[in-house]
Amino acid sequence: MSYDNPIQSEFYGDNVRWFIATVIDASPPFGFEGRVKIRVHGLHSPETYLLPQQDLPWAQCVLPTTEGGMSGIGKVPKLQANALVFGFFMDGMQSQTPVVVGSLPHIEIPTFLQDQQQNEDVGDDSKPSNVFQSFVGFFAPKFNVDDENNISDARQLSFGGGQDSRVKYAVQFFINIGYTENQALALTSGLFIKSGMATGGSGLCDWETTRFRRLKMFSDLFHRFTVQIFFVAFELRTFKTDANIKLLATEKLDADDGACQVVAKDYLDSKNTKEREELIGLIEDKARELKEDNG
Amino acid sequence: MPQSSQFSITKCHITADRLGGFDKKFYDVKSQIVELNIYESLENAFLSGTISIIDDKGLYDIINFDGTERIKIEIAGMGENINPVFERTFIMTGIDNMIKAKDNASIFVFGLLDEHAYISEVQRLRNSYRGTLSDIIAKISAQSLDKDIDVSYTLDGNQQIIDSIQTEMRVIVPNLAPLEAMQWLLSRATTKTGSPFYLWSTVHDDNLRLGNLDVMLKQQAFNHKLPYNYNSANISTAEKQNEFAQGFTVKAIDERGSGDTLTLAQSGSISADYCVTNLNTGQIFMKKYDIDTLLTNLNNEGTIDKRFQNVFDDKFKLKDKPINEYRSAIIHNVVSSGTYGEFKSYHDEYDKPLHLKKLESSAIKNLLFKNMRTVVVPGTAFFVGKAAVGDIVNLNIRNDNTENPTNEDNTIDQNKSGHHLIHDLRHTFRETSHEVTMTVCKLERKGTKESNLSGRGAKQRLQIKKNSRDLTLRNKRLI
Repeated sequence: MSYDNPIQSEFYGDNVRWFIATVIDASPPFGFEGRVKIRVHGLHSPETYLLPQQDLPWAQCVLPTTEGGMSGIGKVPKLQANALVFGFFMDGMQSQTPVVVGSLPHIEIPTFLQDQQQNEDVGDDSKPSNVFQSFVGFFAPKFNVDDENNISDARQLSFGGGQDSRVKYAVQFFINIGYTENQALALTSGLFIKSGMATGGSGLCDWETTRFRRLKMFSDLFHRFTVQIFFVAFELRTFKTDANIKLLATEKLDADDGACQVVAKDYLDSKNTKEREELIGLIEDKARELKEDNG
Repeated sequence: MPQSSQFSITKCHITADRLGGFDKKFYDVKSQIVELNIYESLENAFLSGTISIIDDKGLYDIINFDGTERIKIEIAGMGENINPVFERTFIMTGIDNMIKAKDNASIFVFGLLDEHAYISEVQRLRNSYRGTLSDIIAKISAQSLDKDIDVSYTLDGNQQIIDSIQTEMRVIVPNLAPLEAMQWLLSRATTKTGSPFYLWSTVHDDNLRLGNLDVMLKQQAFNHKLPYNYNSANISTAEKQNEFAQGFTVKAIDERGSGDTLTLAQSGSISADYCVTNLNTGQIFMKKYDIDTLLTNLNNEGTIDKRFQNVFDDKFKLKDKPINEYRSAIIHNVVSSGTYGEFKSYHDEYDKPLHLKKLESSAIKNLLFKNMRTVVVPGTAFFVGKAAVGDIVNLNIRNDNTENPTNEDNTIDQNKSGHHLIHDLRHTFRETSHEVTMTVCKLERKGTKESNLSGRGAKQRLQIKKNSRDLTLRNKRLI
């Protein structure tokens, strides 16, 4: 098959390439209804730093002939994230236009991470942070950070350089787990504005009662900086998936619907309009400052 | 008798990483070289080659040849002109052929490949990129191959870059080697006339060169005032000519498979319907492609002079119907806008008529192949003039019928002569001779170029080339 021409043959049906993929996101935004975001096995790099989630294609899904096949009529696909799907590329070897034909029911065996945790004592204390133990090993930045200083005064923290190292650690951690630089800067700036990276009091995010209770349930070592950072990632994947989807969908830092706005509105839950606008401004300023510092 | 060249191989060292590299241990095989071929092609962003070595010292056995050896070749001028004009290290990829010459000697033909091409082949890309096609290509080149890209062949007469008209897009490279991925992306890039882009490599520098056909065809020939001449008298009297005239003699010319209109028609290069179904909206877009419109656009842009084009006979009719009014191909493609969110995918176009550029680009490439010929000339001027693939060469081929010339022009074969684009090129070094075998092509008969050459584009491109290629005084005289 030749790659050297966007037109591979006279008739598109002569080029077919089938695939198996995992559904990464089954909640398409407005305008993308009926599509699922997929990561194709063997073709889309599993490393999120090479192929971030936001760059993956929204594949159209084929529906059965019992549906109307027209806009606004009939059922919509009900695939869930992590579904295993079968489909084909309409453009064959060029592989830019995927279509999902159906799903493959499968028995979900433990993942590599879960396998590693088999001998861990996760039953007795039922702390979700145990699930994140391996996560830490894989994705945590490889430099020392002021982890145990549990003060609530940000100024005091900044004197020893602890604040800077925590900022650096947070940005690197969020990039490592698949966020873009802008998204990582927005998240870190949000934490900085809320707490000055101090873990004391109600934590990095100045979490309100329910969320702080979840943090305590997350780990007995909830006062540690790294644990709280992992909890932010944990929240984004569990209780704050809406914020996570919006965050992954944006590439801008400080525009409308930019990462800073998403962090302020959807992750930090700033309800009051005036406070929120102020918060967005502060986060944007901080994010820009961090970006400039990073060069 | 081969004509001697001003350039010859001055250094040829073989080593391997396991031997410690060129700094530690190498074998000098300069005196054992039988023949060296170096290939350039507009379609390849790397150099390749072959070297034939007579081995009467058991080197093959001593080195324990494994296809991982490196060979450093240096070519320099003879006599007072001693500065190297070519210095490059290739990887010896394998043995193409081995002949036992006598009991104590064998001739080995080794394949040569640029190191960055080797690096490319041992990688596969399957990650995402955003940006314009040239941005993405430059990014892959820098990240995967550590190569700069020279864009001087995209500069118009005002020194403005003529980039591809395809706007920013998001692509996921489908498991391709970096060079393969770059060519895949490049095949999507066109100028507003539909002219294709090329990425290639030359013997004159280590960069990759990016250019488009519009700019290439508007260039001044590197030997504009000194065309390569061919007539049978040249060949028989070559030794009597002075050295300078010998350097501009066509030694052989060969033409095969050219002038084929039927193949052009079958490929859809003369006329076609181009249709696209957008799966997101269900809409079908249809546009007719016609070679006549394409040539008019190239004419309007100053790339060719349509009056002199010789790739399409607009008077040719089948059943009283011009051939370009038939639909010799019906091409249908599928796109799905929105697959990559707010970004265009590789196939998408916001402006629907731009879909047609995909077909125009491949049609123009096919038109070039219609007028393709192979010419063998002495190689000296190619190093002196820094000429390479992507440049224009001027040929002067004597007409087959010169018994009754009606005027001076009649002695020249208008089809074979004139300005040609160099598409492929082979440098061959044997002892002291240096010969170039080039595949050249063009879209017009001779006589059209005067109008193009007097255009501002040609002169200003030359300035850019002079600055960027550091031509010597002698080169200026030549040009």
